[in-house]
Amino acid sequence: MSDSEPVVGIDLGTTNSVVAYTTNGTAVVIKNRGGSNLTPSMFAVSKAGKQLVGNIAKRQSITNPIDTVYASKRLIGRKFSTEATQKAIKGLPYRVIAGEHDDIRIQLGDKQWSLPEISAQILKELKADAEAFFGRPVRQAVITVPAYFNDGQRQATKDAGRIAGLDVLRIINEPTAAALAYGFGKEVNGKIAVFDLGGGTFDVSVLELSNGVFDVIATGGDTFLGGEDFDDRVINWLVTDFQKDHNVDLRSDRMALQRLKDAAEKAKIELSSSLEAQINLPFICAPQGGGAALHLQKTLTRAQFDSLTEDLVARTITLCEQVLTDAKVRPADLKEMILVGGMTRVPKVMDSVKAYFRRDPCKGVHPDEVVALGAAVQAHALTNEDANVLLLDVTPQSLGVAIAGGYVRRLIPKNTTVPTSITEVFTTSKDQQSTVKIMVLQGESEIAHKNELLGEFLLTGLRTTRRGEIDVDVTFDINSEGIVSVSAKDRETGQQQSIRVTASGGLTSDELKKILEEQSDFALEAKANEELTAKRAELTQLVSDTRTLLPKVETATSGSDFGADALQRARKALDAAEIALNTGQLQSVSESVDTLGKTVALFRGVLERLGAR
Amino acid sequence: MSNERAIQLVDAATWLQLSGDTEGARRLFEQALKLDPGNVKALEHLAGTRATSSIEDATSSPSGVVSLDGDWGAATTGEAPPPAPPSWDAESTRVAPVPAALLGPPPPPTWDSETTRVAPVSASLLGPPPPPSWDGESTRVAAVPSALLGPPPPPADALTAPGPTATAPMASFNDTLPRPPPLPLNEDTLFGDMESGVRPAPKPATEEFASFPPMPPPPPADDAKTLPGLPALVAPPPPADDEVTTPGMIVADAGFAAPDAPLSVPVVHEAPLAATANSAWDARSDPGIQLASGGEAKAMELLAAASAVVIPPAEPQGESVDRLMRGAKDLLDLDDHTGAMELILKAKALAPNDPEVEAMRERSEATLVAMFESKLRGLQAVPRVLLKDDEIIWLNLDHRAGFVLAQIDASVTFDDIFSLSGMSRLDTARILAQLIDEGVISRG
Repeated sequence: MSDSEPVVGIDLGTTNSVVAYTTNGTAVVIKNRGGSNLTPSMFAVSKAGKQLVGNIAKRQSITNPIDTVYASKRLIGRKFSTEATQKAIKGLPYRVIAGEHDDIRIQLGDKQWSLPEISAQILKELKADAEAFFGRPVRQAVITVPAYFNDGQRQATKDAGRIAGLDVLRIINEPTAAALAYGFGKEVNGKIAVFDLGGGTFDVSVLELSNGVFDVIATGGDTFLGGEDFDDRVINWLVTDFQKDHNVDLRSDRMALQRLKDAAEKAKIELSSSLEAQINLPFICAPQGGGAALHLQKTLTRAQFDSLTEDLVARTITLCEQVLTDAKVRPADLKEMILVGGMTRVPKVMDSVKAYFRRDPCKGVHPDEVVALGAAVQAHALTNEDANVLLLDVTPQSLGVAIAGGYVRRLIPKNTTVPTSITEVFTTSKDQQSTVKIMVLQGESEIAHKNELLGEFLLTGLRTTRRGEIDVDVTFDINSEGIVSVSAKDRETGQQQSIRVTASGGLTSDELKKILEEQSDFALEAKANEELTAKRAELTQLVSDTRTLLPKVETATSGSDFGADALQRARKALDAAEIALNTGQLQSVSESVDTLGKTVALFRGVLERLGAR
Repeated sequence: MSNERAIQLVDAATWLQLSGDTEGARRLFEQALKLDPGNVKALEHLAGTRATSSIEDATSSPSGVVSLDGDWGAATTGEAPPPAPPSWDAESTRVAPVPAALLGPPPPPTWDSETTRVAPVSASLLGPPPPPSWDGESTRVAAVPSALLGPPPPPADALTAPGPTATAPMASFNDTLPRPPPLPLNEDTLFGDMESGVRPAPKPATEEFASFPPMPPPPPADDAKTLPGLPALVAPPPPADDEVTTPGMIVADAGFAAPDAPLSVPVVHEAPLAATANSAWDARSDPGIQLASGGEAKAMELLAAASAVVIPPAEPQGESVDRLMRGAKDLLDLDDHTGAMELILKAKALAPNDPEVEAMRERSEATLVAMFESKLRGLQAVPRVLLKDDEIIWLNLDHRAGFVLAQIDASVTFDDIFSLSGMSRLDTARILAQLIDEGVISRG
C-alpha cells in the first residue's frame, strides 16, 4: 500500500455494490467489515429509528418493507412524472413521493430522503469499509454507472458522492469499466460484448475499442430482470409445495418470506457449484389452528432450478439478439465477450451465453467484481502519472435542439470528448415569425419528447418576414466541467440569448448545500457521541475502581489522620459520577472522570504506602 | 385497611390467574392472606392456583410418572380408593403434586426407592393411608389443594402433627426389610398406554393376591427411619391383612417382588379395559374405581366450581383499569415484571390513551428489556448457534423464535438482531434470553 492518499473505484450497483483499489498495478476488491466482497445496495430505517445499510438492511427488507429502500438506482436522477419513473415505482413497497421540483423523494419514517441521499448512505458504508481497510481517510473515488445513464442521473450520482464525503473524480460506464478490468485498453482493438446480469437488472452492451477509446455503440437490456427473479422462482416453488403439504401460505407471513428469500438465494448460489441444494428452514411458521411450528425441508436439484428459470435465461438471449442487431454486429464479429454480475455464474446462463456468442467468455476476473476493479484501474490512472490507461471525459448521450415537426437536430453526438463547441445555423419555420423557442434536449431518440429536456429559452425580436429567411446561429458549448452553454444569435441583428445548463440530479444547489451542512453537523455529532461513549466507559471503570478501593482505604486508614475528609469527598465524587452517567452530559462526565481519576490515584498511592494493596 | 388491600391483591391475583400466570397469582394470594388470613377468596383461589400448579407440574414431569391425560381414575371424598399396585423398587420415584380429586386415590408406597419425601396431605381426603415405603428415597407426595376436593382442609397443625392420621409414608425400611424379588411385571403392565394416557384398568385385588408372594408387614413406627423434622408423617397405620391399601396412583420403576413378609399385598392392575368401556371412568370396566352415586358427575362439578370461582364479575372499565394497575404495581413490588406487564397490557387494551398506563408500560418494558438483555454478553457480542441442525428441529420453538434463530450466523451482533428481527425489542430480547437459557445459542 503506497503512502499516497488512497483512491478507490466503486461499482454502485442496483443490487450490490463493490469497492476496489489498485496496488502494484493490480486491482483488488476491499472486503466490507462483515468480510464479504459485496455490500447489498440497501438502506433502511429500523422501527427503533436506527439507520441500517448493506447486509443488515437486506436481512430485514421483507419484515420491514416500508422503510427499506432497494434498487434506488432505478430512480436516481429521474423526474417523478416521467413514464420510466412511474414504471419503476410500480410495486415498490417503500413510499415514493414527488419532490418540489418533480424530483423523487422517499419517505422513511418521518423524513423525506432524496435519491442522492439514499445512494450516499451506501457510498458512505463503502467509504467506511475502505477507511477501515486503509486505516486512514478515503476522499477520492471513481464511480460507475450504466451506459444508458443521462447527465441528470450521472450528476445525481456525483451528488451522492459529495454527500458521502467523496470527491468523485470521474463517472464511467459499467461496460467500459469491465473492459478496463481485463486490460483491454491498449491490447484489444475491435468490438467486444459485455453481458451483465446482476441482481436486479440486465444490461448488454457492445463496445468498440480503438486505441484506448471506449465507444459504447449499443446498449440494451431490461432494468427489471435479474437474480431476484430467479430467487422468486425458487420461492414460488417452495411456497407452492408447502401449501400442498400443509395448507399454509407462507407468502402471508413476512418472517417466513424473509427466510424463504434468504434460503432461495443461498440455494441458487450453491447450485452453481453443486448439483443439488438442501433447503432447511426449521420452525418456518405456525400451523393453522395452532400447534408445534412447522419445518420446511426440501432438496432443489440443478435440473429443477434450470427448469424453473428457463424462460428468464431465454429472455436474456433475446435481448442480446436485439442489441447486436442495433449495433449491426454479428456474434462472430466480436473480439471478446465479458461476463459481469454474479448471475452469470449460473451454469445454465453461462452455457446459453456461450452458445449464442459462440465463444468462451473472458476468464480470470470474478464477474461480480469486474466493474469495481475496472473503476479502480481508472481511479489509479487518474491519480498516477505513470498509469498507461486514461479515459477521456465524453458526453454520455447526444445533445441537440427540438426542430419543427417534433424532431431533434443533434449537434453533439454521444461519446464526444469534452470540452467541445459546435455551431449550426437554423431558420424560422413560419411566415412572420418573430420569436423562436430553443429547447435543449439530450438523448438518442429522433422524437423530441422521447429525449430529456435540459432547458429552454426564447430568442425574440426577430425581423418579421417569410419563413426560412432568418438565420439563427445556435451554439453548443461544453466546458471541461461538463457544463453545457447554449446560445442563439440572430445573424442580422446580432441579438443573442443564451442558457447555461448544469446537469441536475434532482437537488437544487441550495438543497445540496443544506444537506452537506447537515452532514457536517452529523459528523460533529457523531464525533461528540464517540467521545461521550469513550468518556462514559472510562468513568464507569473509575466508579468501579473507586468502589473497590474505598472500603480498603477506609480499613487501612482507620485510626489515622487520613480519613473522614478524603473518604467523604470520594463518596461525593461517586454520587456526582452516578448523576453524570445518568444525565450523559459530556462536560459533567469529563469533570467526573477528572475527579475520580485523581481519587483512584490517591487511594492507590495511600494503599501502596501503607502496604495494603 | 389491610382487608381492603387484601381485596385489591386478590383482584390482581385473579387477573393473573386468568392470564395463566399461576405462580404470580399464587404469590399475590399469599400476600393477601398475610394481610387478611381469613380472606375466603384468597383461600379458595390459592387452593385453585396450587391445584393448577400441581397439574402443570404433573403434566410437565419429565419422568412421565403422572399423567392426567385421559382417564386415570378418580376418587371422591369418602370413597374407598381403588386398589393400585405399589412400586417395588423405584430408584427415583416422584409423584408430582396433583389434586387428589383429579388423580383418584393417593399413591402407593414404594418398596425400594432411594428417597421418600412426603409433603403434608390431608388424611381425610385421601382415604385409607397407604403402606409405608420400603426403601423410598425420593418418593414425594405433595399437598393436595382443598378447594378442589370439597371438604375443608384440616387445621394446619393436623397436617404436620405426628400421629397415625398423617397418611403419607416417610419411612425407609431399607435396613430392616429384605429386598423383594423381582415382580413378574413390566412397565407396560403397570403404566398401560402412556401415549394415549389410558391405563389398563386394575383387576380386582383378589385376583392379584394369588400372583404375588406375601408382602412384608409394615414395620412398627418405632423402627421407622424418619426424616428429621417430619415425625408426624412417618408412621402410617399398618393396613389390615386383606385390605387393599395401595390406592390408584401408580409409581414408576417397579422391579422387585415383595419380600416374603406378612404385609398386605399391593394390587397390580393389569386388566385392560373392557371392550365395551369408553374409558377407565367406565364402571363396567373397572370395579376398582367405581365411583359413588353420581361420582363422575361430582368430579366434573368440582372442576367446574373451581373454574367458576375465578371468573371476575363484570365491572366498569375505569374500575377495571384501576384494579389492573394496582395489581401491576403490587407485582412490580414483588419483582414480577412479566406478570405486571400482562396486567399493564390488559389495562392498556381497556384504556389505550391513559398516560399513566402508558408510562407504566414503558417503565415495565424497559425493565423487562434490561432483564432479558442482561443475559446477553453485550449488544455488540456475536452469538453462535450451539446445536446442530438435526438437534435444532427437536426444540420446542415457535416460528418467531425460529426466525430469530435463523438470523444467528456467527456474523451478526445482538444489536443487529434487534434491528432485523422485525419484532419489538422486548419480544426479541425475550426470545434471545429464552434461546440462551435453553442452551441453543451462546451469549456472544
